[in-house]
Amino acid sequence: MAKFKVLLVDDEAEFVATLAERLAMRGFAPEVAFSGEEAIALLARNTPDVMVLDLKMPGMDGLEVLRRAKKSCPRIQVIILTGHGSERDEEAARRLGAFEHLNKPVDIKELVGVMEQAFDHCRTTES
Amino acid sequence: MGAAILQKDLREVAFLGRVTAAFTHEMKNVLAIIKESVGLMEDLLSMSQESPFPYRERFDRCLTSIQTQTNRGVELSSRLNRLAHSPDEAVARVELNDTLEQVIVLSGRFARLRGVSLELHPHEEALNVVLSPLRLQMVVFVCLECCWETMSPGGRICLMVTRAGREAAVRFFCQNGDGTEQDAAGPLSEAKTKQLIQEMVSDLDCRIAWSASPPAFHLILPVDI
Repeated sequence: MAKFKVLLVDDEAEFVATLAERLAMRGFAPEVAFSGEEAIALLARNTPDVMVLDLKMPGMDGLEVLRRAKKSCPRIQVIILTGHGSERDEEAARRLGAFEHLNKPVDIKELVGVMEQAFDHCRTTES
Repeated sequence: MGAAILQKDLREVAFLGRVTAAFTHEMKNVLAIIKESVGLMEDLLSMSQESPFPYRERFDRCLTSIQTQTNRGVELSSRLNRLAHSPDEAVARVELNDTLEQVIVLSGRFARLRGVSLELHPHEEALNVVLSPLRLQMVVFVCLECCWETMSPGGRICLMVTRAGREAAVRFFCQNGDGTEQDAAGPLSEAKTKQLIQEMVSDLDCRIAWSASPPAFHLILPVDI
């Protein structure tokens, strides 16, 4: 039984596949989307508790995914994980309701810690 | 004519900054993939601690080395990325201690080639200044360069940040390898250098000053309160 539902969104397929494998070793069963459009389609079918989202992707970018995700399902907690983060992007993401903004590459322990905090926040918001 | 040249220069700087920023972002993606792959190998190794593996120690050493060098690459890419983003805003509010740390890191390799080390003694509180982030970094770099060009190997350059009222001062203090103090004002007061620094400083809306004992050069900036 997975700890909670996680969706990883990143167009760097090798990165996201490896990260998913490492999270699986830590008791998660993350779903993976390789584009913003794919992420939005997945949200409609199976809403995650926590989304780990890249910002700069071809097609629909991370900020647009964040905006749509928070609009359609405000309880989702979104963690931005990007190598493209300028301070301006971080401010925009936080304004749109991102739970946290992390820079790539991130230590797996730090990421798992933030994901757990995000899930706690998600549960607190619900109750 | 002057304004047209300035516009052309700004466009060139913006172009260079934009392309460099994009490439450093891509470098971070590459490094992130390497880091996750090494992390996965470490995870797999730790899961099979009990299984015999004759090269485990060497393997662990190699993985640690890759992690260390990846982290080094991330730090370099992040610093270069930040420099590349500097021209994004002609004038911005920046924290002085933080910006000086950035210049020290960017200048480190140049100083090391001269056998000189760089030290920063930041002010205990955050000091915000409103100016061109790129020009501030350039001025500090040029001042450091003037110092290390004339210093003997083994020397060090200290930057000390102090505050007096509404002004912050960055003091440049040089010490040679044999421990003797070197007058930072000497190389910085040479006619050609002095003119260049004066021009850059006046563009920044700050001023320079010298002190005799100990011999040091000061860059003085208005603090945004």
